[in-house]
Amino acid sequence: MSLEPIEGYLREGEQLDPAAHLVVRGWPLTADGILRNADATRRRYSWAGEPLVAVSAEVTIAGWDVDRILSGARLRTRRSYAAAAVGEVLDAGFGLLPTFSAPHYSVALGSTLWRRPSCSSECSVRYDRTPIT
Amino acid sequence: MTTPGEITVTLPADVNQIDDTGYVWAFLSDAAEPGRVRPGAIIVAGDPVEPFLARVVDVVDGPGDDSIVHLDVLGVPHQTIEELRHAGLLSA
Repeated sequence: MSLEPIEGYLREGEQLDPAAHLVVRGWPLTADGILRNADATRRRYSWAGEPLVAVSAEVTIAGWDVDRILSGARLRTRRSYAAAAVGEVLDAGFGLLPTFSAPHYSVALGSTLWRRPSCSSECSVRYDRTPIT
Repeated sequence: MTTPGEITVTLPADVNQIDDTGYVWAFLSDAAEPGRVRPGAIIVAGDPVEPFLARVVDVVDGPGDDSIVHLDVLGVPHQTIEELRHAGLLSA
């Protein structure tokens, strides 16, 4: 079995508020955790035919807030979390892919990073497949 | 009290990482003893700092020769210990 294209698991038509929170809880809060998470994604999924290096996170899209995310069956087992504004994450050059079921997002890192337009009021969920050089 | 260095995690996993099934997933090859990771088994997963209890939902083919393990997160270990003590199945 080869890498699974992540394109088959993208949600369409979702709007991102740049003020929304991107939340990561637990293990990935260390450099080792982030690298392990990103490496696992790289070993399983591809994006535009290349291994996808990305970290799993959740975002406060419509209908979700930080409390609801943190109280979910999975994340409530963690004691600590980190959150950042979506706009800051995008402006820092990370790619955000709305993957699997809401509110899950993949935060693309490293050589497979795709730059997205900076957003001042609203970020459309669309994909620019031009790799950063 | 048990320290993280004394904790053996059966399967390293990250509760943030789900796939299209909605379950947490991990690679079977990351388990030190893969034989303990079988469908229906209750295992300690996560990491030594914050382990969690999970039920193995299934083990399916993954990329290359690896397998993907799907986990249903049950909670943190102390919840289970407390319940077992309450039921008299574990001495105080």
